[in-house]
Amino acid sequence: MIAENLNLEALIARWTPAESDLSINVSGLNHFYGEGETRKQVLYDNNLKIRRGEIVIMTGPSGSGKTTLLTLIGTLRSVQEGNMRVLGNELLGASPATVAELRKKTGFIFQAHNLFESLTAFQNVSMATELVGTSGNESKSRIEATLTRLGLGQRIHYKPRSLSGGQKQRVAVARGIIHRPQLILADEPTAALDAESGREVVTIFQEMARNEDCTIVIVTHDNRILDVADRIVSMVDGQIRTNVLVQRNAVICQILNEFEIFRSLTPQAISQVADKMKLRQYLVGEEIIRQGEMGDEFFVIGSGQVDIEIDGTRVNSLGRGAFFGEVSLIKQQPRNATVRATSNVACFILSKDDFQAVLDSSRSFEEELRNAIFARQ
Amino acid sequence: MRTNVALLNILNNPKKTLLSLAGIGTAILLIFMQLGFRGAVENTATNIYGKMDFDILLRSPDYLHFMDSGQIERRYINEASALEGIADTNFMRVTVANWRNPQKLNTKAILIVGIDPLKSPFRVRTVDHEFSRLTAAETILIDTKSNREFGPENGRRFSESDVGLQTEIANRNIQIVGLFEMGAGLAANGAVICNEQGFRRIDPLASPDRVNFGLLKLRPGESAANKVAEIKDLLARNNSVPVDVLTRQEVVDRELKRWLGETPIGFIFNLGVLISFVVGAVIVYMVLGNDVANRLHEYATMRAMGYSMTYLAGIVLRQAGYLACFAFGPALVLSLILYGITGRLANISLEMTWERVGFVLLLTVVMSAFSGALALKKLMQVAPAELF
Repeated sequence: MIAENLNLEALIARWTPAESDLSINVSGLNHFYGEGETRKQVLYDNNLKIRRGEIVIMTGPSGSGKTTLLTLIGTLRSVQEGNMRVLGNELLGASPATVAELRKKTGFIFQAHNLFESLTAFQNVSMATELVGTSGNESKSRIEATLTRLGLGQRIHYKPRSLSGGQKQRVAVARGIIHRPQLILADEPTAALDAESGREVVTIFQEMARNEDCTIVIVTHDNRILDVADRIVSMVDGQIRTNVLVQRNAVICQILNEFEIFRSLTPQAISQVADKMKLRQYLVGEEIIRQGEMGDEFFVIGSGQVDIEIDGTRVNSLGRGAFFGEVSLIKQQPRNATVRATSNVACFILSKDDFQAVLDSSRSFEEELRNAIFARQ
Repeated sequence: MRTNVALLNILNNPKKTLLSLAGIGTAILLIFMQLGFRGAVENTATNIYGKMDFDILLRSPDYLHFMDSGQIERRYINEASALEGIADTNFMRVTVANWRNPQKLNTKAILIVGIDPLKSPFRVRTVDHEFSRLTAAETILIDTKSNREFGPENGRRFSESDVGLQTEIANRNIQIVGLFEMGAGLAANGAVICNEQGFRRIDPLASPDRVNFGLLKLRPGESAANKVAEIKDLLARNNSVPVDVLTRQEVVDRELKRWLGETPIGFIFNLGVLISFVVGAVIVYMVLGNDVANRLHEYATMRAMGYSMTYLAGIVLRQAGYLACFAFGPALVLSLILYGITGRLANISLEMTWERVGFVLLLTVVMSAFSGALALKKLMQVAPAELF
């Protein structure tokens, strides 16, 4: 249902953000621990683009490097190799002043809470607002409101030693968000919480992402909160193994499900195809493929109309759900026709290798395809 | 309003903080006591000169201390008095003799001061009338600050009830005819005053031509330093035997130098101050260093939040400051109480001066700043990267 009402163009715009919309942009990031003989690489050529206002959940086994990546994003470690832009600042060789500014715009929520033992819950949270120069009554009432919302209304003036683990974690959450950071880095922020307060915390995260364009990166194994993620990044052995925009993936799956050609695929296989699919837009009149050129992509039309021309003569017209470009991939031949957009067109595109992989994984898909090709001729 | 993390840290664990304050306070108290004793030595050493009425003092170069002062020819005083600007002259004889305790009949050395009763060499005008009682050779006045072991009737100190009492000095009969208050200082535990005949009775070998001290008074407006030079010149021209001619300040300085510089007394007290200072500094360092180590993750969190190293250092140094301040007050009060008690027990005057309070406060601040700075080194271990 979603698919039919979707404005694909708007989605494409959302899924391929401009440089200026990115809050985190990591490219070619390597990281090493130790020196000389004991130098050990812990991050290998990582690339990651995160849009402002995205909620990202990072998963992966311990030792996979996700914590290292988190500390690098949070300027708690210095970038050694590769580039990392956070909130518009390059972190490779960043000055202490830049680092200090970035830290003030970042909210950290540590799994170990790290509350100030001598300070009350209120004062702990207040330390975050004082730093960015907001204080006074407005700040005071905001702190009280936040703590109350997190169920600590009766504990505002208690010191950490009089609080339970879950209460401490909620104070830590309040301290991490109270100064309206543009970036929140949280390590297991819901681990010590019951379902209800864990839900309240992620609800606050969602509000901050939606209302204040705050980017939120959460390292967690708590699958109760996976549903809030816009993106799920999983790391293995120092590398980002999968990087899935959840909504995009869901939307593409749903669209692909409607298409004849993918009917034979299992939901899991469709999801894999969706992962690999790129989205591209063509303006009216644009040539999508040209007769005689070698092709290396397979196209499915998401929206719009195209004309098929052979030797300059229009032979057919295709619309939503139709596909083209498969023949030259299967037969290793040049394109046998030109395809031209007759309206603005959005296409799902699989590269040659990914296309081949799908063919290899599903005999039925290959047959389906052959039937379709046969029927067309 | 900024959260005062330093103060809250100090107050967070009252038991531990009280213990720390007790340690630091004890160190400060020790400094006060050492300086008090040192001050008492200064006061006591110069006390007797403070009671004597002179601008310029003539005495023998053999002078060691008040009871071993050497002698000078009496005529030196007359020669000096001829100079322009000298208003008055006087002399004083001093010796030590055995005093028989009128109660227990044992003997003990006491300071004998021989004066001209008609012309007191002392500043203490209030007891002048007592001097006139020294009419006969066997009459003496006794110092009310003399130790109780000389045998006052009431067992504590000599008083009116001792007047009229008879006993012996150097096996000669004497009679107490009056009292004065002086305090003989470090060299003697007690003192008596007698007239010249009485002095020669007690010390038959004393020559009438020789005295222990010549006391010169200047006319108002005369410079003591200039006059000292003139007198030295004059005496050197007329005599071959050298004489020490000293201003009041020089007398006091030499006395302090002798007791504090040439005896171990000064060294002992200075060392005491130094040791107390070091002990205090070590305590502050241990307390702070321990606290910083325990809070390393808190400091790391502050760094992660964007607080500067300067801010963190400020917290540690202010904690040092609070410890010093909170320890200083009680230590001061306690030392005032101990000054009173010790002074009464040891019969010395332990007086608190504003200079000393200021000096010890300064020492305390330096002590805590120094230790705080050392504790800052631990802050360098702060590693925000280890927080996640």
